[in-house]
Amino acid sequence: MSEIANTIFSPQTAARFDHLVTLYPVKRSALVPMLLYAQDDIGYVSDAVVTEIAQRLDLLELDVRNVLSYYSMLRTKPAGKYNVQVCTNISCMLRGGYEILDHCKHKLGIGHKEVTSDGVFSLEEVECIGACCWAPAMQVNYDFHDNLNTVKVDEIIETYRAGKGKDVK
Amino acid sequence: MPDVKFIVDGKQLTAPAGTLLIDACKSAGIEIPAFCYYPGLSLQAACRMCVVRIEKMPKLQTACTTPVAEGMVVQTETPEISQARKATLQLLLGNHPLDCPVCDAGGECELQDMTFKYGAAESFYAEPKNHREEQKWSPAVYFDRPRCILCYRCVRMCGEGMDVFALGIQNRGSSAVIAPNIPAQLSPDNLAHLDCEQCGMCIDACPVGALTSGTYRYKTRPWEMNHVSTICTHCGDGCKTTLGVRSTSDGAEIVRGDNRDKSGINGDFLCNKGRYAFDFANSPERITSPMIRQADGSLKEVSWEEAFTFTGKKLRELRDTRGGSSIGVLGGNRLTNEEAYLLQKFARTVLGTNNIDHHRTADYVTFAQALAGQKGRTASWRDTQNFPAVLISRWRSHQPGSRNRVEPSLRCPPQQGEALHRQH
Amino acid sequence: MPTLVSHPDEVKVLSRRFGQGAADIDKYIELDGYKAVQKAIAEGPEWIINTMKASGLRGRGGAGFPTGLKWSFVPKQSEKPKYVLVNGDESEPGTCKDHVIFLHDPHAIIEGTMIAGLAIGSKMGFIYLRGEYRYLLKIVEKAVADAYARGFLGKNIFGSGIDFDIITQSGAGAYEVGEESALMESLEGKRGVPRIKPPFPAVVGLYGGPTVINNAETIASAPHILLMGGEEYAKIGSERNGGTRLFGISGHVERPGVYELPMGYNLKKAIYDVAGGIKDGKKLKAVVPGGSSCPVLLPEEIDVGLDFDQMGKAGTMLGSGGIVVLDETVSIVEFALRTISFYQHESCGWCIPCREGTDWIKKTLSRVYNGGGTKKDVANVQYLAENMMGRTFCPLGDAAAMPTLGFVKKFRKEFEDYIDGQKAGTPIITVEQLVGAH
Repeated sequence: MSEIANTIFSPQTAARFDHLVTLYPVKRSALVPMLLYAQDDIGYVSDAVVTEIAQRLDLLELDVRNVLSYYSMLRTKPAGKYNVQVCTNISCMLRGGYEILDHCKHKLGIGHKEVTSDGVFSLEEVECIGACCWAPAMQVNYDFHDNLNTVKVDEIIETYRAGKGKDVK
Repeated sequence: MPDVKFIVDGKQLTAPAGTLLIDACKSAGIEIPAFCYYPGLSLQAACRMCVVRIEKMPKLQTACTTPVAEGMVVQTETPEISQARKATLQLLLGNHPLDCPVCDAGGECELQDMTFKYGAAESFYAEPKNHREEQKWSPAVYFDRPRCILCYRCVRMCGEGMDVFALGIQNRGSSAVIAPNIPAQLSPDNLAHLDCEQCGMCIDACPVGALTSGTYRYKTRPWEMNHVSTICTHCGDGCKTTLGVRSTSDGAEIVRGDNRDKSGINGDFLCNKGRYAFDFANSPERITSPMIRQADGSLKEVSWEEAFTFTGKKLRELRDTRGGSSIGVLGGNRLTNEEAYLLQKFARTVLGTNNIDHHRTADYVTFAQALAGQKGRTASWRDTQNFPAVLISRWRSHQPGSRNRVEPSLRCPPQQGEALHRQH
Repeated sequence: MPTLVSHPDEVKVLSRRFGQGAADIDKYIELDGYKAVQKAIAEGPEWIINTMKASGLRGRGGAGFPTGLKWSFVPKQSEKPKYVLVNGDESEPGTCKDHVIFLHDPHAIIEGTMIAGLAIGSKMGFIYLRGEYRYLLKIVEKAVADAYARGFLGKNIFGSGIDFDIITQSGAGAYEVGEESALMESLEGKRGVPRIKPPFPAVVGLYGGPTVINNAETIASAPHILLMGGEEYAKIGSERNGGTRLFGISGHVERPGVYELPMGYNLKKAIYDVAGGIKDGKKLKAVVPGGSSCPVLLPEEIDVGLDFDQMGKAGTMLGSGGIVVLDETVSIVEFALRTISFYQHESCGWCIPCREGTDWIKKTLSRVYNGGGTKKDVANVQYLAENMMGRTFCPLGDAAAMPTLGFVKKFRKEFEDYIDGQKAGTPIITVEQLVGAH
């Protein structure tokens, strides 16, 4: 039972949020992770998400928007079901990161921050994801895939397309 | 706080411990430039213009965040410091539009003044400037994004100063932008808007022409106005306002009200009425001469002499035929104490009546009587800044100056205030 | 999943449980887990801080501040609660060492947090992981839950009468949050913009209380130091640089990976012996020795010990220990552009020199890269970087300016030749890609 009537979140997420706000010495501390978990649940940080989170944390919606627009993982438009994030920062670049990015662009037929027409995939060029020693690397949603080459990328994408890819949130 | 001694540009200075270096220097006549520093608002150290050289410190330090300390030795204008300021200005000017000839702030712009002083006139960049269309946030507030230098004065003024929190900072890095509280997608016209009381304080605080006033913009140049200091007539608070008055072919026109010089009891504060509600002065509907109702019911304009003669005659008739007690006198709420005194004296000694009252916006008579005989029974605006607690009874929101004095400090103590928190 | 590597020159202190399933609490206990915290309880705060001081451990985030000294700055008496913060916002390009610790030894982080808490008299710790590390956050969350289930965390830990709680926290994508005060802002639910210093976190930190904030690797080192003794730990490293460090060697080497080497280990040996030398027998062109913010080293400059002082003398920094190796095929113009693009993307925008400086360096280098540059542009880039150095609100400005200065000074001729149409190396980024994301 959520603390908020008519919550827009799934029962699990709503219950998680009810708990989250009780953890910290100051309620607002829950804001950044809450926005990310809300995005995991709804797909993106919609206006309704902003409204409910502001309500849960006793904040102005403006406060929530100020914070939300700061963090690069948070998006205000839907992404694909599987968001492919290719790192092109220095260590990955040296080992073919751009080749992987280009390959993904061609394979999925979309560019940076675009979504395939069936809504299954979206593509993003991202900054360093902390997998430098296993470069080139990418994340599909939160799962890391490293030591990539184009053949491996094809396999990974096909696995997700078949609905068999790892997707832990 | 005990005084500390320190040296700035070779001069021995003294200031209470804890005074910020920028303020201590200002008191001693040494001006340190700054965009983001604004007295009374939280510290930012963001514009990096107030950098100074302090002995024993490895880097240049911001004078706006450094409290003076015993024995501190400071340089405020050296080639190194001038270069740092010049470089900062060059960076700002890289994207700042050079529309000064039509910008409202032209001639009273802090960026212009500093560019003039530090000579950052040379341009390094071949890339086009980032252009964005001007936005009308409200009838009172317009935002010109490319002109904004992100000093955050408006955001703090709105939040910490006014307790309204209608402005925020969004995005990050070179995309960072001042944002109003109604985003475009939630607005019927798909444009961002400002939902607030339209006090216009953000416009006054803006050091450049990024925020401009809907009533003033593109009307004149600052140097074409006479700046007349006066007292606002809209309520009993008595705030000081500066009216920008421009000559016209048939007299003069008030084009702007503000309080940028921060004089008067209101400091830098001015409410929306004080700032915008001067249009009555030149209104065609304004009554500018006395009128006497005629037998057919119409009103006829007359001279003051005629009007006084007529009024005197009628009052005398009343007093002589029905007695003074048939007359009552009501003072207006914009009379000064001296005028009110003269009015009652006139009523008692000339009209022969004790029926004297005033236009009541608050029952001050009862209040004053209740407090009579008590010591220290009244307090001034300044007192509200220093007392540990203020009890508010029957809050009157139509005295915005008083409200502004008391309210932000009440609702927004530093440990809770969002922006104030930056002081830590 | 990150592959574990090994080399005979490694000294496995911090990494000794890697690959042994120590994320499981029973396995961790079997491998001497939670012994150090019990010793810390028995010996008391003063002993902990003295041991940490004796160990010579210096902050592994990159600044290299002595950890024991940092802990000793926290006032004993405080009206406000004190906090321990673990900085796991690992985001410096070239750095993936904390990744491996969270994955293989999460309990060491928990135990280290408890030790720091005992040292300063704090009852609450936070472990902050960057948002991208969700799978690692889940590992840490499980470890914390297991520790609570055993009664290691919560009320009256190990019968000491002391309570200690740990909260795990996720970021949401921001390099700048790795700056300690920006991390506190983020943890308080705000934009990740740093705070004005002083006051420093040890006095006024999270929620205004005295706070110790350490990098995850620093915190994970604490239990090992308490068990082996400060002096023993210090002996492993070089002068004034105690112990070992996880070095992530990436880029053009044969065996990239995270290796635990003693402080002061020779950089050249690390590249040629430990990481197997330059990939595919190519020639070495340059080394970025400690994450992307560190000034580049030329091949003739890499015969240097990997510790804070020796790297400083060599005109660069030890930084986060992420060694990025560049072979002869790399275009430095492109590499410099990719580096500044990152800092431009990650600048929080708070202060003018960083916000505008990173943007103009990026714009200018993009034009140079696209063939529209003039020699004046190289001088302009240097001017911009020199005027950012030491003048920004926080170290991100320096982090952007330092590598830029390194590239344009040490590879000036390559920039000028590039402008003249003679491109060294093989540029990879297409014009289309440049316009795309950066």
